[in-house]
Formats: sequence, C-alpha cells, structure tokens
Amino acid sequence: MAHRGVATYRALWRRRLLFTLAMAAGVAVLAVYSLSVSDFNITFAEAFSCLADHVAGVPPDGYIKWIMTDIVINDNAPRAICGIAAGGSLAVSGAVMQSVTRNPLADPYTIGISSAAMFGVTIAVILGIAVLPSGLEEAGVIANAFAFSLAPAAAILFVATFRKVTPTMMVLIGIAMMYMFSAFTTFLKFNATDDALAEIFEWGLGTMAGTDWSSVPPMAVSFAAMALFSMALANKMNVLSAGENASSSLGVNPARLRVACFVAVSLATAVTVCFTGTIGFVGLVAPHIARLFVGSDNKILIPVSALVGAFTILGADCIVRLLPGGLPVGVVTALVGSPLFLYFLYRQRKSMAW
Amino acid sequence: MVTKMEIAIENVSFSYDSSPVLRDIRLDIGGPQFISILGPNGVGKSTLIHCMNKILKPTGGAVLLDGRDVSECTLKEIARKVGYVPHTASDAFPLTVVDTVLMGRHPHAGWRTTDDDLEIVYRTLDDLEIGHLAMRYFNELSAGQRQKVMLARGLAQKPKALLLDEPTSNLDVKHQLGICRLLRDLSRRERLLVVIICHDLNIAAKYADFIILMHEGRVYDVGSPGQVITADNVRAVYGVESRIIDDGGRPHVVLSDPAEGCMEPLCGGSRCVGDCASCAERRSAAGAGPAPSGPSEPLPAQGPG
Repeated sequence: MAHRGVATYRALWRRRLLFTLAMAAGVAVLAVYSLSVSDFNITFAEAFSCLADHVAGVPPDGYIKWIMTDIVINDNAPRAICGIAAGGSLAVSGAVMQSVTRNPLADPYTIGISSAAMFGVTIAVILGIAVLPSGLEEAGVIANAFAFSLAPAAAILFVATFRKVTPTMMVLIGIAMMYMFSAFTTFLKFNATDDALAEIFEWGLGTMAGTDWSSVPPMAVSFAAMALFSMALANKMNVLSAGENASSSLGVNPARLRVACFVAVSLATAVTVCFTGTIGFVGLVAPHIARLFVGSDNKILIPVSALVGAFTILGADCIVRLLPGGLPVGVVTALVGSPLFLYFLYRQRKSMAW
Repeated sequence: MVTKMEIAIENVSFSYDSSPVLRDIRLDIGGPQFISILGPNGVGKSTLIHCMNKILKPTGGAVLLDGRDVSECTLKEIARKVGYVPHTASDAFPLTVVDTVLMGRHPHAGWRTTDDDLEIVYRTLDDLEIGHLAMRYFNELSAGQRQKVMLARGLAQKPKALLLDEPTSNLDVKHQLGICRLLRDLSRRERLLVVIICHDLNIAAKYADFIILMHEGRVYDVGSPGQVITADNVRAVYGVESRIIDDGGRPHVVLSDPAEGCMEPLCGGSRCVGDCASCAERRSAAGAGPAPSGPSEPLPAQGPG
C-alpha cells in the first residue's frame, strides 16, 4: 500500500513539468516572432513562411521574398538561437552560482569574469597583445576575452589545491579579481586614444547585434554542455544547500563540487561574454524569477531558469530592434526586468521566502 | 534488518592549525544504544563526532567503522552507514520538507527519485509525527519542527548509527524531552547506535544508556549515567559545584551558583567564611586563601560546543 504522499508529490512534479513545457512553448513562440522583428517590415506570418520554406528547401520566389528570407535566415535566426543560448547559459550559470555559494546575490560574474574579460579586450585593443597571435584583430580580441575570463577560476582552483575554500572565500577571491582587473583596465584606458576607448566601451555594453551563424555552434554547444552538466549535478547541488557538514555526511564533498561548478560556470560564461559582451541582470534575476514559480529544487530550477533567461534576452532583443538608436540589450533587460522582478517579489507567496 | 554497528576510535588526535583539540582519544562504542557525549564548550565534542564520519580527518590515529578505516571509505560509503544531524541548518534557499528529507536518500539513490525513496521519506515523516508538514517549506517551521525534519533526513539514510550535534540546544524543555525520548526509543526500535552531543546533564542522565564525559580534549570518564555524573566529575570538568540527587535510579544534578561556592545546606553560601567542613577541606586542597572563592572559571554559557 503506497503512501498517499507519494501521489501528492508526483502530482506536484507533473504541475512543475507542465509549467516548464508551457514556458518552453512561450520561448519557442517568442523565438519565431523575433524572426520577424527588423527594420524591414516583415509580419509574423511572413517570417514563419520564410522559415518554413527555408527548412523545406523551397527557394524564395521574387525579390521581396528573397530579401525577407535573407533577413530572417541570415540575421534574425542566428540572433534568436544565440539569444536563447546566451540567456539560457547565463541563467543556468547564475542558478548554479547561487546554489553552490548559498548566496542569493551571486551571479555568473560574481567571480570577476566580466572585468577579467574586459581586461583581455583592453590589452588587445590598446597594447595589441593577444594570447592567440592571429592576423585578424577581432579574433585576437575574442581570444583574449575568453582566455582572461578563465583567470578567476584558475585563481580559485589554485587556492583550492592547498586549502579548503569556503563559499564566502570564493566570492571574496572573485571580488578581489574584479577590482584588480578593473584597476588594470582603468590604468590602460587612462592613456588610450578616443577610438580605442570607443571600441572598449562597445565591448562592455552587451549586445546580440554581433552574433551570426558563425557564433551559433560555440554558443549552442557551450549552453548545451552547461545545461547537461548542471542537470547531472542537480541532486548534489540540492544536498549542498543543507550546509557543509550535512552535505559531507550525505556523501557529497562540498569543496570538490563547488570547484567543479565554478570551472563549468567560468567556461560557459566566458564563451557567452566572447560573443555578446557582458549582459548583466539575466544571470542574477532569471534564477530568482524561476524560484518564485517552482521553488529552489535544482532539478526544476535549472531548466526553468534557462527558459526564463532565454525568454528575457529574446524579448529584450526584440525591443532593442524595435527602438531606434540600437540600445544594447543589457540596458533593456535591466530597465524592463527590474520593475517586473520587484513586482514579482512583492507578489510572491510567503512560502517562497528567501 | 539493520545490524549492530561498532565504532572504534583508536588514538585519535585532531588539531586546527597548531592548537590541539582532541588528544589521543581511545574509545570503543557499539550499538544499539543511546550514548550522550558531555563536556564543556570547546572541549572537542563536535570535533570528535565529525571525525567519526569523515567530516574532519583526524591528524593522528584512526576511526574504524565495523573494522574499516574511515579514511579509506568514500563519503558516500560512510553516508550509507552513518547518519548525521547537524547543529544548525542552512536555509538560504529553502526546500519543502519532503525535498529536504529526500536528501537523506542521496547516498543510496540514483539521479531519479524512485517511489521507494518517497515511500521511505513519507514513512519517516509519519514516524516522527510530522507527516502533515510534508509540503511546507523548511524555513517556515519552528525550531522543534526543524530539528525533527533534520532528524528525519538522518533516519531516511537508513543508517546503522546516527550522530547528532546538539539536537536539543535550541529547544524548550518539552521538546528537549520529546526529542531525547524519541532518540532513545529509536535506538531500541530501529536497533540504532545513537550518539548525541548534549549540554544538559540532567537530560543526558535521564535518557542515555552510556555517557562519555570529555575534558580538555580527552575522554575524562565513561560509563552509565550513575557512574559518570558525580559531583566530583562535574567539578573537575565544568568547574562547577553541584549536588547529585537520586531520581528514580538515575542521577539528577543540582547546580550551585559559582559565586556562592558552597553547596552544604547549612553553610552560608557566598557568605561562607569556612566554618563548614566541606569548604575548609576544599580550600586547603586547592591551597587557596581564607576567603571563600568559587571555581575560577565562569559558568559555561549554553551554546555551540
């Protein structure tokens, strides 16, 4: 005779999965809608037919259709895929960082990845120093951003080899790295030309405008790997939430899990930063919005965070493209998202307290 | 069926950096029984139980669980045999009670939560009479309920031994008694070796089968409550004067205010100038001056050890 609680628990999970599927459908609809958003007047139906024809291998008939297909398939489609990958990756990274540091203020940039990447960009642009010597300046800048954004994780790994690293210590190491790299960057910018400063500034904004089909494979692979990694370790991250001693006594080595998660977050975030610059807000807030709806069990928190993150960036990127002046997407996510988040926080069920 | 568990502590020492906490502890304990570790704050009680399940690695000596050195076991192997209930819970991102107790199945379970795991969780909650809290969030619960949930998590591990770090320290008297009676009953019914750290001498005396009294990082005395809880031991370990009275075959400790210094019923306590025999005897033994002085150490504060 099964306990009736088992059925209640399973029913709760069915509701959670249903919610996740609904979110996924929402993201899919928004992604298809985003294909139609551009300066060129394309309707949702036209965008959908362009996509359907392209997938079916039907060549576009007529000049207008040909231009539409070009915009939908070559500009907007990779941008949508990269938006999903960037939003998903940042949100999952944020959820993982919050869980393993047990700190609701943690996000993917907590360990100083963004300022380290900026420093990499700065030395490439101003001093012309690139870790990967290549003829193309842009590739050199991206390689620098990637290489330097791994520096904080390397520092934490180094410290972790000879002493036990507490979550607070990890965050503090990250903050120290952030200030150090910011100081270096400011020092270099002090004597830089206006052109160099403008280029560095653009890098720091965070935008989806630079993504095309060549950005899709690395971003998609990195997002998929991060999502699989976090789902595989979701149970262990749950156990870690019980505290250091309790998680040891339940068979999870807290220090080892934490370091593994930091390395994974660093890699995934480094890839994202390379192609989009530093998009703030999503990594911090998407997991919290997900928590409001499904609670903090990482098994459901991680997929829902990914969907919330993807939805946020896709939506914000649509707004960016509708507005004149080419605002960076990070500005829109924060401007629209913050009041919405405060509203959710105000309306939250009491039981969902932090 | 759960079989008996033996924990052998062989010459275990532990130091944080250079300050020694445990010095050469030798102890053999085996279940099923209800053991209480007593001793003042900072004497190494928590450190000792943390060495038993590899939360800490001893700096000297070895701990054997059923003859196997814990340093050669993985955390997961130990977690299948030894449950642990921490002193405080983290509630940064609270889970439901079910999900919290489900963590106890982690050492046994795979990635998926099976119906068997859920069945064990719900049965454990019912056993502890907290089944109605199953879907509540952990942070909404009272201290007594939280303690029971953490106990349920330890029991859901289906261990042979259960270690508890001050399970009664945040609880009112009724809950202290309730938790201790429950633990004693569990040690009988589930044939568990239950080891708790306790600060209340009388609670320990009332329920424990066996007492380990620690002093300055060493085991000072072991035995039944009647053997270990004596006025001499309490004075030596805590530096507090006391009177032991008999309570249905178990000792009951009546503590004196350290400032009073004398427990003789006819003596004047703080005004005692040494007329009574016990004060004079104690003073001469300690080589103290004529004025009566209580033990130099203040009464240990209740709190984490």
